[in-house]
Amino acid sequence: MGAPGLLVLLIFSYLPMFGVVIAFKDFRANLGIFNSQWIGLKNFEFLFRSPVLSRITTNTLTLNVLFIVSGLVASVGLALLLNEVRLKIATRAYQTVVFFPYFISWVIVGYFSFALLNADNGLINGFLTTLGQEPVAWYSSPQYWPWILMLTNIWKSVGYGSVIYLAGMLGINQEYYEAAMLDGANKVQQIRYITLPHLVPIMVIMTLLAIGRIFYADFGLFYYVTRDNSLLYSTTDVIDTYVYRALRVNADIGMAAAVGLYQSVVGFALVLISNWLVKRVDPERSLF
Amino acid sequence: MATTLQVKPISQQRRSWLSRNAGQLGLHAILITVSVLFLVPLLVVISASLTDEIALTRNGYGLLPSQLSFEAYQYILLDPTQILRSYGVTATVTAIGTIAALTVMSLLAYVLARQDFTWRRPFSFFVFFTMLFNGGLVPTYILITQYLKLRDTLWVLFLPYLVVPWFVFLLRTYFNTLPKEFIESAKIDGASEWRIYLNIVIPLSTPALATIGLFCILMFWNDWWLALLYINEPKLYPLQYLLYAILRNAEFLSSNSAATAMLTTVKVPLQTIRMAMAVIAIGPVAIAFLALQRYFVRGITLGGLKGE
Amino acid sequence: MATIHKRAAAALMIGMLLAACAAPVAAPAPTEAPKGETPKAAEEAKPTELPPVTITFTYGGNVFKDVDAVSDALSAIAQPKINATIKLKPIDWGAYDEKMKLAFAAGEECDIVFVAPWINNYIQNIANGNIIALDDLLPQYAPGLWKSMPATSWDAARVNGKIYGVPNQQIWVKPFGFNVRKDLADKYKLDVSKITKYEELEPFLDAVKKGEPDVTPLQSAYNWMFETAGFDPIVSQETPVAIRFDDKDMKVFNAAASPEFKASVELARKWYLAGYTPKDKIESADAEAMWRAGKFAMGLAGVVKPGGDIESRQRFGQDVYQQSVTTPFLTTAGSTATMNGVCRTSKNPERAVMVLELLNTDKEFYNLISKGIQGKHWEWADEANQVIKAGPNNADYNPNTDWEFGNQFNAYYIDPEQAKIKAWDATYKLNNDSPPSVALGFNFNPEPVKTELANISAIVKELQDPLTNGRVDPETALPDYLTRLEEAGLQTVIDECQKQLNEWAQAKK
Repeated sequence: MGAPGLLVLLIFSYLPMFGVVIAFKDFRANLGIFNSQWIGLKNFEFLFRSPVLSRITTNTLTLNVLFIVSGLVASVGLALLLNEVRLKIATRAYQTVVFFPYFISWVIVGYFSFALLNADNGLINGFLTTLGQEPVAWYSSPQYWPWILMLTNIWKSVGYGSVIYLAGMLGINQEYYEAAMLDGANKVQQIRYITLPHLVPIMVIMTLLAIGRIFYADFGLFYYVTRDNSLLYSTTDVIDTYVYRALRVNADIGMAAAVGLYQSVVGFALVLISNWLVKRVDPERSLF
Repeated sequence: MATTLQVKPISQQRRSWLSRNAGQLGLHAILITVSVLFLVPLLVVISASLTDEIALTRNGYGLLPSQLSFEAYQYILLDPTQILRSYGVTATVTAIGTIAALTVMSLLAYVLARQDFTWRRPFSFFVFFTMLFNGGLVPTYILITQYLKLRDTLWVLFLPYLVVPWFVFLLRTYFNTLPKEFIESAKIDGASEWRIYLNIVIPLSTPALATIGLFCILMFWNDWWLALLYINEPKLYPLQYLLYAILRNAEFLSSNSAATAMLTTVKVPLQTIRMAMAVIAIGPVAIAFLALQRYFVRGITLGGLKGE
Repeated sequence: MATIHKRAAAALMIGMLLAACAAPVAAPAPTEAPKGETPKAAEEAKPTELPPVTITFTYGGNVFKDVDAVSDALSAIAQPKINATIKLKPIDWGAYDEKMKLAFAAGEECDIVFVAPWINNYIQNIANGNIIALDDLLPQYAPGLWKSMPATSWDAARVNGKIYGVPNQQIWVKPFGFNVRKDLADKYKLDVSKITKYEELEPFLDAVKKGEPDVTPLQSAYNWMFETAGFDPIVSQETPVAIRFDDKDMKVFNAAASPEFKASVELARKWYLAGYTPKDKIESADAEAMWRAGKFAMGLAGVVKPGGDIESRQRFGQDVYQQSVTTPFLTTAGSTATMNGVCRTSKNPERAVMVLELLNTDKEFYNLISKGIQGKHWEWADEANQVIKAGPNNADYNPNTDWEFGNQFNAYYIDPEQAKIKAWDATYKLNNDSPPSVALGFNFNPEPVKTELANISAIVKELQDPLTNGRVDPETALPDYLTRLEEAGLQTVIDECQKQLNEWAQAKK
């Protein structure tokens, strides 16, 4: 039964996979992949010798952790709220509305954040001024940006995330709730002892999968929302934006491949560890 | 869900309407606030797409256009037949792709979800591995264009995305939460694997399938990357790629320092074009979203099935 | 979620170099392209006796509805002359870089291809063996084209002594200067012709700041350009490595450590602090709308070319004055800004070169590809002066990229005023009269130092950008920038560049 799916993966993912060797080669189009020269780890050098390696690594990891945690809390939270609404039409309306930002591209989000935050006539500074507060030069104050990015990220993806958990809640057997209510359990207790435990497997899977991509950053978010502002790099520069900057002059297939491989390998190692941990607690919930 | 809330202890029913509904009112208050935060930017996008760009630059964004202008739409819809054709391509790819992907992925996920399947873990690993590692663009490109000969076909717009590991694992997780007794008893009754899948697993999983189906729709609808790589024929441009190409060509002409004076003095209202594109792309998906929603809210009563 | 976002991100990265998700590999080793005809046969045969072939031309641009019609019209001219059918293959700008890279890696067949230092990179294509040397073909199959440019221009296209691309004639020198709104310049009595350096603009900027509350005097304080300081950017515009254009000793130095750079960033800082610019940086694509809305009085560091004010009026919807503050000189980078080459995979390189001859010497052929079909896409406004206007179906073919297809000086004028000042003749004269840089014809090979260049490129974007825009204090930020450049191995790049330059000079003797 699973054969068609496995076949698709075999063809489109595994067949071209020999291509990873390019990360270790000085790729020349006229020589092709096999005849290009082996150069060992030279393609990885620019990344590992980068003077800002620790900064981009830390930023990528901490921001992604921040996004994973905040995304999880916001998605589950919103799903719980939506789930409690009695008026079905209202549930639908809310659900649709929270989904909309998903369609708005990062470029447009970048325009909006600029309209809100710019130092000359930004709305937020206007608001602060009316409150008698000092305006803030947002685009030169890196300390605020992890939070700004986190909120933007939640705003854009929480609708998508909440659907996943909402679908999970619909699968919970109603008898549990009926029994709980007979025992006099209140709403909060029901959520805590019935709903959340049932959602744990989904949360675990979502988190494990997200950990696999923890070394990849959402380029659009970091590039457009910060307007690629170099004064903010200390907290917003991530591996993907750095590589974009570094390779923009001499686009190099081998070097780009090396970065991709590095990101994958680290993510892979982290997933293996987390999967092993999950397996020790509950083998049923592990990824593989 | 609604059913749970109707079964209330008698003591609660005696309270006043207000105190009985305080929780619901609070809930709505929160959700309405949240919705406004989410809805306003969308309205601003629509209004901005209908504003004259110079007025937009002067006056900033607003909920209503400060100076109505259809300039952006005129620019994009310069060639309406192309837009319509692209809508057609996208709709076809989305429909076929979603059905095919959902079928293939749910079958795969079901196999991986079965606890009694010995190869469950290695196969799960096989699927997961492709999420992180791939051969990269060049070998994939050569495979697709030279060996599979899929360039400039509709196939290339959905085949490579037929199995998304992320979705497979989500489906597997949903399937795992189904009560195992159903499957066990069906097996004892002598039902074949296909029967179990079709008659028990699928009907029990409508919200999950609707969710993944929605995600597939979004994925196919929003994709332009495959078209960028593998489509050269404007006849086969999907909507999102067409919009992307229009935008990038416009950006190029307006910001490239080497650009020459234009023969026609069409001003390219870049900002408003971006907004108009968002509007054009959102519309049909929003409708699909509303249509699918009934599957999210309805849910299924496990109790009913139990009686069989 | 992340799967979807990954794709969105990949999407955004498009124009960029195969970034993180992109990767490897390759085509079977290509064999020597079979020749469709021997050079000898072609040489002796009359054009009509040449076997019929199809020559494709791949370039960046809109895929217009009437591309095939234009291809047919081009073929109608080319067939009697060289028996070639022309097939235009435009690729959307947003996909051009990526698609060409993949097409070359997969060994796909192509004939003529647009290359440049800024897209579908010329040097990289040579390093990858994607385009072939034309030295033997040009004099034989494109004699008119070969003679249309002085030897120094051909030298600019040489890499390792060989010519791999035909530079399109257009504005080659870079006389950087400023744009200023005519109404405001007149109101505040700014005589642009008297301005020889940016510093002299200060009284005007101050007057605008005081007198026009709704106008920001400057789009940006950015005023740094290698050429303005008399530097030849021999590595790239993004790498602070240069020589002085007239330095016979050809000493390569760190441009960021030069007094000229220091003066430039100090001026930017002063003007930023004086409030002449927006506080946050404006993207160039958005700046245009702001110009049209009349938000800015002046822009710095743009190329000032003959007829440039006419083009600016169209783009900005404002009458502007332009004035250069740079003594123009000819560099490799300027001369090779847009080129056409011939693919390694071409089966008919000789015939492709013949088509290049047509593109650069046949006025009708060239205008057909760059303006479309007469009566359909354009009409004469004033035939005597070669001025055209939009035709009824202009929208169906309107590439607006004359500089991509061949010798731009053969293009019809699109504005009577351009014709009045004979913009092309003036530009040709400017190119010719400007002194060449001592390094004209030197093309740096980045391969040996690409690790260093990658990190330097990132540092330049991070630290030079705020400096040149005046957003940080040069007092502390400039020394910091220099230290970071050193750490990233700038000296290695300078040494490598010096070495290559010396070898080049030696070989030239």
